[in-house]
Amino acid sequence: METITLSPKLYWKTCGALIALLALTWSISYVNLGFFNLVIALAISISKALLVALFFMHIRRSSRLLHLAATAGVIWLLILFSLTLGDYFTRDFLRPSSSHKVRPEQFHAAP
Amino acid sequence: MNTMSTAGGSLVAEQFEDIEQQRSAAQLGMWIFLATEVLFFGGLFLGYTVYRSLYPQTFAAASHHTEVILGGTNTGILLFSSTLMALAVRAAELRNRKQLVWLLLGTAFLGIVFMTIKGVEYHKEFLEHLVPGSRFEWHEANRSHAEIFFWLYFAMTGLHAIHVTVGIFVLLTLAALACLGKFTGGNYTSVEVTGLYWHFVDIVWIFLFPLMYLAGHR
Repeated sequence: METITLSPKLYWKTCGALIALLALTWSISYVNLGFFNLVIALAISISKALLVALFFMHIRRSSRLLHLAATAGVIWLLILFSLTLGDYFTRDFLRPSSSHKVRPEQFHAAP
Repeated sequence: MNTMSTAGGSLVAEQFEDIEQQRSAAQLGMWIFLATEVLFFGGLFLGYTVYRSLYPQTFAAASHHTEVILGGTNTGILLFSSTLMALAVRAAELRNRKQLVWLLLGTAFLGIVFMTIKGVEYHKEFLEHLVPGSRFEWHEANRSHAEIFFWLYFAMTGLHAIHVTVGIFVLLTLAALACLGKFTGGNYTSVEVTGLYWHFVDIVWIFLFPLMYLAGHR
């Protein structure tokens, strides 16, 4: 049987890294970086998610089939986001006077 | 062929060739379920993204009304519980019954602490009239936009809380079965796939924390 036994040390190191990243994202939120607050917060969240997936969920040592199933979820999520946001963020492009700022109400007017 | 068996019955279900095939089938099943869960939560994350891009200032203002200390503590608790869960799977693989039972109970306990803190938060927010609906009160600009933030906050943290609650019950059941020696006889698949589920719920919260509590700088 394929073994997944890792030393407890590795799990505690992962835990320490996750807590450190939590402290980082929390403290950075008190500094005003404008849009980069969101970018940094998301980058840290993705790093934490990868740590959990790689070390706690053993993605690193799983079969190709499991990699496929795990990636499929993420790819479909990206399709969901890119198609929907591609719609919302480009509606203004087709309006006759594209100089005006888009009004949120217009998003809801469309069927 | 099924040659492995214990006093409690066969380790391998009839439809599988061997225990390794059974184990990989269970893992694949759980990963496919988690992929559907990604899309289940994904719809709400998408709604959040659209509305936050429309009303960034109001979302930042509304986010300041959440309890960041309680939310941050809860993040740490979930990260810690995931560590215990990973150690529980390890204990099951090493057939260490006593350690397995305690680690499963510890994971469930941290889940209960998480839910208790979440309950305290919801109670505070209810008293502050932050729950969307006729009793919603907002003294800053753009009331309806702030209401959308809190609708998403309660929907997303609520759906997450349901997942944590389910996880706690599963963990307690596993702990009871582990106590009877069910997983230390060579088949610990249930512990392993429950671990995958618990880590996934942890990952959802890893994204919820900065989006709900830290939107805009504080």
